[in-house]
Amino acid sequence: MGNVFKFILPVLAIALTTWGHWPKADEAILQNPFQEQKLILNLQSMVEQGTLSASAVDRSRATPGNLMLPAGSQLLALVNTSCAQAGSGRKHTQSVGDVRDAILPVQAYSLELLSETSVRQLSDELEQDPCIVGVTENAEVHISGEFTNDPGLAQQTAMAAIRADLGYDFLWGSSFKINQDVIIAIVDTGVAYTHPDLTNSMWRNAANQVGFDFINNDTDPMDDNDPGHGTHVAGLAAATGGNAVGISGVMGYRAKIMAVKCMDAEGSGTIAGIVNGLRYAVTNGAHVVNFSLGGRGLNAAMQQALNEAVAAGVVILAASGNDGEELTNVNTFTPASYGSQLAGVLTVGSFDANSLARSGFSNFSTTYVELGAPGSQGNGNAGIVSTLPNNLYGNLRGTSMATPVAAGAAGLVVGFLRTRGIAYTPADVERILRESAVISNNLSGDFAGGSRLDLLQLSVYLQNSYVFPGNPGLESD
Amino acid sequence: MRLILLLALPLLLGACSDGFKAKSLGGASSSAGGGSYAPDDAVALVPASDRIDAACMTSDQFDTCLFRKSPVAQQNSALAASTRAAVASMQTYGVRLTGLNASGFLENAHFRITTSRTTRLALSGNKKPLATAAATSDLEQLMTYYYMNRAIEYMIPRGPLAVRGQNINVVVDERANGFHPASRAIHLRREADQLPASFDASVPIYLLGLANAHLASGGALNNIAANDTNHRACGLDAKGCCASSSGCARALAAGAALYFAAVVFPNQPAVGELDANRVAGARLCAVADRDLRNVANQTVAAAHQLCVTRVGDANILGNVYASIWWQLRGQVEADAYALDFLYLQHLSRLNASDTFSTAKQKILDLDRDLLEGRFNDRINAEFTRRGL
Repeated sequence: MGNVFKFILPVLAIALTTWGHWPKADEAILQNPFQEQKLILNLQSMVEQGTLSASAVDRSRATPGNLMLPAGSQLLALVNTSCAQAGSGRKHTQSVGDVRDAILPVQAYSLELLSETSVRQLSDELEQDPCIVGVTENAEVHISGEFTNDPGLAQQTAMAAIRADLGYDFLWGSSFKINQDVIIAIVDTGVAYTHPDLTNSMWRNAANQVGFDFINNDTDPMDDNDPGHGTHVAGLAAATGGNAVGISGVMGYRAKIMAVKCMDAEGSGTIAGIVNGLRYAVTNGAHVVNFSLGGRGLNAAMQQALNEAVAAGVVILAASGNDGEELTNVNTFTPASYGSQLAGVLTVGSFDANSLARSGFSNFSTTYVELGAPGSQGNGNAGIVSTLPNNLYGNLRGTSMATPVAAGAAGLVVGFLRTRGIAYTPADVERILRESAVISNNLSGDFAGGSRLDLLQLSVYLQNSYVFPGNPGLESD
Repeated sequence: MRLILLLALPLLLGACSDGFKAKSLGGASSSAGGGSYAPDDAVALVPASDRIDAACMTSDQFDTCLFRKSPVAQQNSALAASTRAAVASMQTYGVRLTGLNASGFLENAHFRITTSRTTRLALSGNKKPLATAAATSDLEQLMTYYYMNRAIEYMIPRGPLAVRGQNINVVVDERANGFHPASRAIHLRREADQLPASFDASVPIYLLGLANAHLASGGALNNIAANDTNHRACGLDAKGCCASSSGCARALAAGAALYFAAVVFPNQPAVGELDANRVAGARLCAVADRDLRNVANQTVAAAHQLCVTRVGDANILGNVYASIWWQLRGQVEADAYALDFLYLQHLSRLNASDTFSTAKQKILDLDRDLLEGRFNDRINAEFTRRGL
């Protein structure tokens, strides 16, 4: 069987989509679960600490510290795909996917729990498998955009709202010009990479592939979603500028779109897919990763992947979600809720491109939502324009749209720093975007610091910080 | 009475290729305090023609009506409202425009006022625009030209001014304030939601001081080596802070610029008053005023630790360097010309590896070489008082 890895094992189910509360930073969930021990032990620990929701757990039949887990839910397993002993000796678990198709050294697989068992049993069993790096819950994830069929809204109000043209005076100006490519990975439903406004901005690897499809497990990440969520997202971030075709993304020049398809045609996916997509992006050199998606609750595997990506120098943008709710330490959203904990992961909410007030659908929080970007227009009722499959353009609204606008801006920052030969960390990029944001009274109760993305202020910030030797110190701070 | 300096300065002045002539210094051959001198062609800082006049806009005695330094400096208090309408009524500083070339625009051999997003002012047009004319940058251009020209006319007789004849490009409607060494351009911020930086003359004059320091050193002051250890990362600026309280090139540049501005505005030796809307000027890190009146006794050790989030901030340490010069100037009031001469001369000796300590030694050496050590004791004492 070689490296074939199959989970043909009965599994104990965990339905952990809702968590009791946001643990403190020093609690297990916010630590790096894979550094010292397998994640399954952290699961046990979290149950014991009460940080794991018991709503789906049968406490009546549990002994203290050993809760019973119902069948029917999914686990997420991170597997060492080169491990020859994978799957041996298992009794309770069965995997979705075959390690022979793996493209990553450590790849995530969904596991379905077939029968009830206890957390302790599960931990004991999976811990003994040398091929399993970790196991956690596999929450369902949904894309965050809403299609609004507004064919007449063909103007890029989002660009005006962030004063992009004024920022471009400097970023693409006569005395300075970004001259380094920036790879922006769109982890989404794929990208219609033949779109005339995208095709020349696609990243391509040595095999001329534009990304990967983790849904169909192939190298053709074409967007099959209706209306084309990933394509719309890609266009907002990086549709080709200056080509006399359609629109321009926020980073219309020098951006290279990496299409990482982890969401299916219905706009759904799993943490396993997202984690794989993120690892693919990191492995293949992405500078910026856009997550216009999310799911309720927290997920330690996602957190771990985010940690690794940031450590590898990748900036991550995450949508805050479209429930119109306040994100709190108990009302959490993955990956958005990790933004405030991880410098280099920026959580983006949506404001309206016309009113500059928070879009009604946008989740908000002055702690967990760190930056506002335009994701709607017409007082939140209409979408903003971008590319769609079949060479079309259309309007979508959502924090899904706000996030790639910010991702394009992150790309500009990375491009600027790379052009200037300045070493940076993802935390630097996040800080630049946040410190250069407009402080908006309209958004003061919605996003951290009332921050609203603004490319003019961003360009001034970059000039003050990097172009003139030493900030002249003529302005108070 | 005009005194004549007898000291010849052939070697150092030879580096100035644009016509600077050695001055004859009188009574300056003895020890410090033994005499003072002034240039043959000394220029008044404020010509008699330029003055506050409430009827400026209708008077033909003035070419244009500006703010005296800035609206905040002019009224010597914070503005109730930082708007164009609020400050327009303060355009009562009537001045004559001098030093123009024949181009018909605000320019001469030393610098030229240009724009990036608005129209250049043609001198054939209205030269008394109001601050409320937000669609144009005419007042911004006039403010910048007048004060930069005053500064250059005043400084040229005092020593080798490196910006002299350099045709510096001064753009009054940029996105940010700064001197850009590569293009040798001065940028002044002008945005719709703020009063323009050029409404505060301390800003272009400070940047002119930066440009002068850069050019005087042949660019060496900004040529910081990759393995430099005098600087450290400061926020986002990889060389924005000095590694030690002894200072660094960035702090020398900042201090040199601040002293330059103080010489031009001796009664109000602060920069950034309008942006900060306070008489004490810009306030860095919420703790450090860019006002030489407020740092007269500050040590480098104190300045180095003043900002806990930016320990060793070059601008904050630069305040001390400027203050050392400023205190010396106050001590030798009648001999200020000689001190300014020494200041201008020492810039050509600075490079990117210098600190305040190495600069001190260079100043002492220059003083001995050029002025027979007339300020040596004072220089030693003042640097020592600041912990150097």
